[in-house]
Amino acid sequence: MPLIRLENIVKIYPGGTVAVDNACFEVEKGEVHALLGENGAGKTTLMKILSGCLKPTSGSIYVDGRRVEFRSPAHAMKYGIGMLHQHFTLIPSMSVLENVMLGLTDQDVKKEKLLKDIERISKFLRLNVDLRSPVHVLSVGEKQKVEIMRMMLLKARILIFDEPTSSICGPDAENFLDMLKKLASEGYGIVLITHKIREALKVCDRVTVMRKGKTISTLKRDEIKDERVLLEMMLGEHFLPEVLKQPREEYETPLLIVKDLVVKNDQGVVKVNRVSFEVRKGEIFGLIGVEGNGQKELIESITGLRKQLSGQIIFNNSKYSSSPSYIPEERMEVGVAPSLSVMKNAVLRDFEREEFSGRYGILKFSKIGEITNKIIHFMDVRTPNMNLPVKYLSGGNIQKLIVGRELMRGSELLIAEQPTAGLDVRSAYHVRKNLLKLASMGVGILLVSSDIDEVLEVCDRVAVMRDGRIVRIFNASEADPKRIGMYMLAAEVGLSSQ
Amino acid sequence: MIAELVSGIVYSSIILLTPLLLAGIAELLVEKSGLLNLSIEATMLMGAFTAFMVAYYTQDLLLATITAGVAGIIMCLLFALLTVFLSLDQMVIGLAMNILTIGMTSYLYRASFGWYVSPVPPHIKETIRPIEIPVLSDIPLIGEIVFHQIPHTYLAFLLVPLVWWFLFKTRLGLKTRAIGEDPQVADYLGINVNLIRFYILIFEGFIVGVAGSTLSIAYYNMFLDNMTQGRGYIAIALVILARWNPLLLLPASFLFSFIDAAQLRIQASGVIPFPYQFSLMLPYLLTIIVLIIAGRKVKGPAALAKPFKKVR
Repeated sequence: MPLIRLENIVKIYPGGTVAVDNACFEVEKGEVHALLGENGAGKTTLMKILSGCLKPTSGSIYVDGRRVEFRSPAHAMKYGIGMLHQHFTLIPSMSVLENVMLGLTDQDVKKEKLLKDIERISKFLRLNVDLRSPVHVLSVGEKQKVEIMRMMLLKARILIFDEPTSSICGPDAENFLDMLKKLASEGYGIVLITHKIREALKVCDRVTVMRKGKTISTLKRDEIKDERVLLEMMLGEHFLPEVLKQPREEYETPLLIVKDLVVKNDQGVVKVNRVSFEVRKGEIFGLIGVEGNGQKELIESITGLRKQLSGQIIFNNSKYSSSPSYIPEERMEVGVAPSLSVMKNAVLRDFEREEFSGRYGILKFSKIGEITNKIIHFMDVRTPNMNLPVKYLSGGNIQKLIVGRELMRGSELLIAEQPTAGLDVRSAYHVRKNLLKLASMGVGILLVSSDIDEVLEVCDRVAVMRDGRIVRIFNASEADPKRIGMYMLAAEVGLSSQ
Repeated sequence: MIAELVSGIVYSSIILLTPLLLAGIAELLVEKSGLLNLSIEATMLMGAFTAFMVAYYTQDLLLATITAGVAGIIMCLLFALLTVFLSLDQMVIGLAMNILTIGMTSYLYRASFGWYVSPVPPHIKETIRPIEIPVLSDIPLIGEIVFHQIPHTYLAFLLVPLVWWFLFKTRLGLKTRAIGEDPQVADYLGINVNLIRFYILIFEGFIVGVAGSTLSIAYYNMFLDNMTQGRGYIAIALVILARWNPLLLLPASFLFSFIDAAQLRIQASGVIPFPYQFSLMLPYLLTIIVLIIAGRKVKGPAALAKPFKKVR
């Protein structure tokens, strides 16, 4: 008997959107079950129903063969079902111990036993942090582990992970996937929500593919011979991305020059240490590194969000008036004004231009509507209308709106941070294709990414950042994933001799 | 001479400190749970009014104090209904309640004693007397100053470590801080956000009501229109000054009331060559200056004053 069984789950949101349409799903003890699908396929909604965050419109949930109805996430937790959401459910200012204790009921807490349990679990998860340090100083990976630890202390039997590797990269993601396997071998039932086929195949015992709210099929790992089968199931059609890049070796004048840049973070720690590079006209310059190695501070300094301590940033624009385009990583904080409409956000960067606000500062909504329509069609932004506040769009659609806005501004330099994060296969492909198209038109692009594959696919040169320094700049021809990964981690001894 | 003057000022500053510390420690707890209750000004005023009325008609000061607490609870229940359960804006509700209460208490006062207030306004014969703590009050100087106060003062001093202990050493305190930082997460973890806030507001209502009673039945023997004179707001400022730390609230409120007591002395002495209004504004000016210096980088509870609505 499966531990968990979902039967004919339907979820219709108050607006009438059918998010989940007759979905069926099950989890066995000790398996890693991947839930695969594009953005908006209903994966997260289905799992939120399983974890008690949402009420299904109809359908039934069985735990150990018995039918249950969950009133709240805490109620689902009593049945041993815990979900790790894309955003953390930790309180940043509180210590690790306090965060872990928060969810426990009073009878669970015997301090000595709790500490012993924490020690055992820490060892198992390879989590090595001071229990008294506040959570906000922890890395993303450590925060994830603290969340897992909390679930384990709450005696979860099913752990649901929602796109867990979207915020960690490269080698860390590998380690994370190994940990999922280890958890499964301990008897936990693991659900991995993902849109990355490779990731699913790497760890799963079974895969369930979702599309447009329906569960299309559930396959055992050894039944899957070709990942293209899964891709077709996800997309519902034959889709084969072609190889995009034509290698170029000649470049023109630099558009952005960074010289000996030193930047400190909010805590006063030097995060960027004498970094120098240039982005030339018509090239895509990749910047890759494990999160927290100074990329964030570097970009903040280039975009003017953070003051540099010393060094120079030179923009070599011929069109002096146009500021560089910028696709920020923190889309809700920096990319959009969440409560403004789609239309207003579409011209958020440029509404002061005369074409949008005339000579007297009165907004020309017909013109703004035109450009908004262009962006919506170009990027396939799914929105019921242009006047909807942006915060009601899904994360993927907000990302598409920002990318579309920045790509279509027509500036000579584009700074793109994780432009495809949270986008599905087709949209990500579309974004990459357009980055290349812009480059061929002479735009210089600084691409910050933690996805090695993406960087290799589009970049002309790749800089690896570690501990605040650029440790190596590869030309596209000499870069391969393994070597880049090694530089990111500084794992190999032989590196320094090169 | 100097020592006498200073000890005199310290003695009266502890008197001035009592309502502020009581209101401040209760407000600190409420703010830790993510609510900003500006209406403690109204709660205090209602406490002062109720205490006076009960004392006037019954001559029972203990009963008057307790009724003041109950009146405070009713005020906070109103605040809880509007902000916790109906998720309305806390600032707007708080300010509205303050203005409402100034009018209401003045009106009820006149409704009871007549529109014409005689040259000698109604007053009570007995006020709450200081109690000496045996042994401790025999300590030279300190005993005289600290252990020769009204019971409300002892309550205020006792609440400081108690609230600290509650917040940082108990499970419920941990939950309280969690709902002040992120009620969504707390709710997700099965903590009943509204219920905890509700209980804490009841506590605040009682304490702040009692704080109000010190004004009308301990330090004065009558009720005056708007007699709290912004003490509720000062208490809120003191919470910020204390960086939401209960243990820092004591020095913060002492600093304020010390300056206040000193300026009263200066006023009474009549030695200063400028209008007495200048010294009246000194404590408030000082609060602003200290906030500028000490309060800039301080972060309060992350969810402070943000309405919380359960989404399911």
